[in-house]
Amino acid sequence: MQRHYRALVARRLMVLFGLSAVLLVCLVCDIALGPASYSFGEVVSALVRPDAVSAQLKVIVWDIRLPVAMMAVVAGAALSVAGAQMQTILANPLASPFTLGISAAAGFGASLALVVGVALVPVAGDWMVPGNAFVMAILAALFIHFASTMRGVTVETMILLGIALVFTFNALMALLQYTASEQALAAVVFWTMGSLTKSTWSSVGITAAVLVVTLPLFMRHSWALTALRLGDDKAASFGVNVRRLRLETMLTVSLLAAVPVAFVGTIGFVGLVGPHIARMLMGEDQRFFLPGAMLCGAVILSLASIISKLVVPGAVLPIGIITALVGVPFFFSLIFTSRGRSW
Amino acid sequence: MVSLSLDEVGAAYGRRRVLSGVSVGPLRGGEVTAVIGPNAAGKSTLFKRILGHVAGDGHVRLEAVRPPRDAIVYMPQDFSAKAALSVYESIILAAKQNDSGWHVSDAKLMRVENIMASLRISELAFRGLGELSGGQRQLVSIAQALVRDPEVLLMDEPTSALDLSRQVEVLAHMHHLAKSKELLVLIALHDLNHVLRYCDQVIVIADGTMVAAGPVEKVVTEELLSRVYGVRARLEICSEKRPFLIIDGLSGPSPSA
Repeated sequence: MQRHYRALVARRLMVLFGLSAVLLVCLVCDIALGPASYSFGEVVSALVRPDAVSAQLKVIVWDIRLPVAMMAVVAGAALSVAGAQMQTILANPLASPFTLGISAAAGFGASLALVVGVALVPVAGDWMVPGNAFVMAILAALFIHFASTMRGVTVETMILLGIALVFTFNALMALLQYTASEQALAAVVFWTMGSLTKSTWSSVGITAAVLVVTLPLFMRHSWALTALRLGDDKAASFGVNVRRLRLETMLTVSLLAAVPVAFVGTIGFVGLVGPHIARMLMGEDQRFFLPGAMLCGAVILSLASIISKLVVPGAVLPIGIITALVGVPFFFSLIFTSRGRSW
Repeated sequence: MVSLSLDEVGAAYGRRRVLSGVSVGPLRGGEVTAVIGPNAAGKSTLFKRILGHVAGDGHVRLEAVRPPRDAIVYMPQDFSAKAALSVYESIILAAKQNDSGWHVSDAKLMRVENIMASLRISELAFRGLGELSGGQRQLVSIAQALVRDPEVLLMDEPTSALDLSRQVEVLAHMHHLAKSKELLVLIALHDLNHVLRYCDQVIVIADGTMVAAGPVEKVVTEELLSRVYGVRARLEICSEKRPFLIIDGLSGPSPSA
């Protein structure tokens, strides 16, 4: 048994290593592709020796393509980890930033800035839209959290509350859109499609920092979080303080989900599908599941970023469209192939 | 030696009082104590009160080598089998809760294997939890409890999903463990013949209050069964000179009448 277990652990480490390699390839391809036609070699040269290439190529690679490609990686990772932990603490396979209404809340916040010009936090200029989106996303996440602590509220109720939030914020957003000018309407529609193209080194840095800070917090509780999947009673019987763990995790997850959504808009399915793929690849031991979910989310969004550049030559489609188009059939296959299996 | 005393112990969920007046002990290591009573009498709540998971009045006094959090191990009635974990991983998970390191030592793995072998579930090691029957899940749950090396073990209906031979095997194993390792076992049971055969002490709870407590042969009487369960029963002596129970029927009108 020991040998079998050690082999299992080694295999999971290999899968994590493999996913990292795939991510690296995706990242390089993502940087190499774009409307401006440069060869793969030129792009690699710009990455390795930026001073040896033309100023134009250097700007395109370092200031345009690299932030976008890096944002695909960090936002995908953050959304997937957030989804994984939401599924863990709410014991529900449908939990994700998208299905719990966090993305819809962020969309409403962004619409407030784009249509009415109202800033929910005292920031201006380029930061008003992500600032508003962040505030609304965190409020929605906290609402879900505090509702979950109320007596008699089950995990099923939580999902229903999330769906209610989605409908509420979508209706409010539709109301704003109805009154919006043509220009504002276009901006809102574009934001809700989800896009990486406005990524900057600042937004990438902030998202990456949130990921770097929150991930060790989850990893520290990896045994306790895994125990939570056996049910509250069982986890408590192992000595886990279930209430405190759920509170800490939900608060951390709120931050982890709100930040990328604020910068990249509504990108569905990554937070839902990423954890499911990781679960299928390496089970639910959080020591492997959590980095697995992170890498899966990063690979999915990076691949989506590549596809968004290939569908229409010379143009970049909003990435939310790609994740939805690829995610929905995948989600169907997940539903129909995993019946009766652990989710 | 570990000992546990309950002094006027009660429990409440918010303002709703669900248990009161449980006084017993000291119960000592090496003893198996049954907690019996009708459904929803408060047996599981008593276990959760001892663990400190439910608030309430009275005092729970534990004398043990380790702090209560480590010394008392609770085995709930069932657990969720939706997690994508193998049986072996789920028992390692129980063993690792007290230490935060990521590495699982060979000694810990060996301990997991020995406990699985003692419960004859080694062949289930790499089966998914979702593939197990209710009875197999109960055996895994017992292994998860034992791997934590308890001084006091609270078992909530550990044999309810097991077939008869597995029930006898598990209860005999627990009885043996209690005696050989001076383990204090509290076990919620419905089968009173198992109580008569494998338990030393008994706590009887009905409608959230303690009805009786003491040595099994003194407490389990025909009068008590009629009063607590509404059942007419006779206590006979079997060929091994042990008491056993024969149920004649309900003492009043049946619930379906």
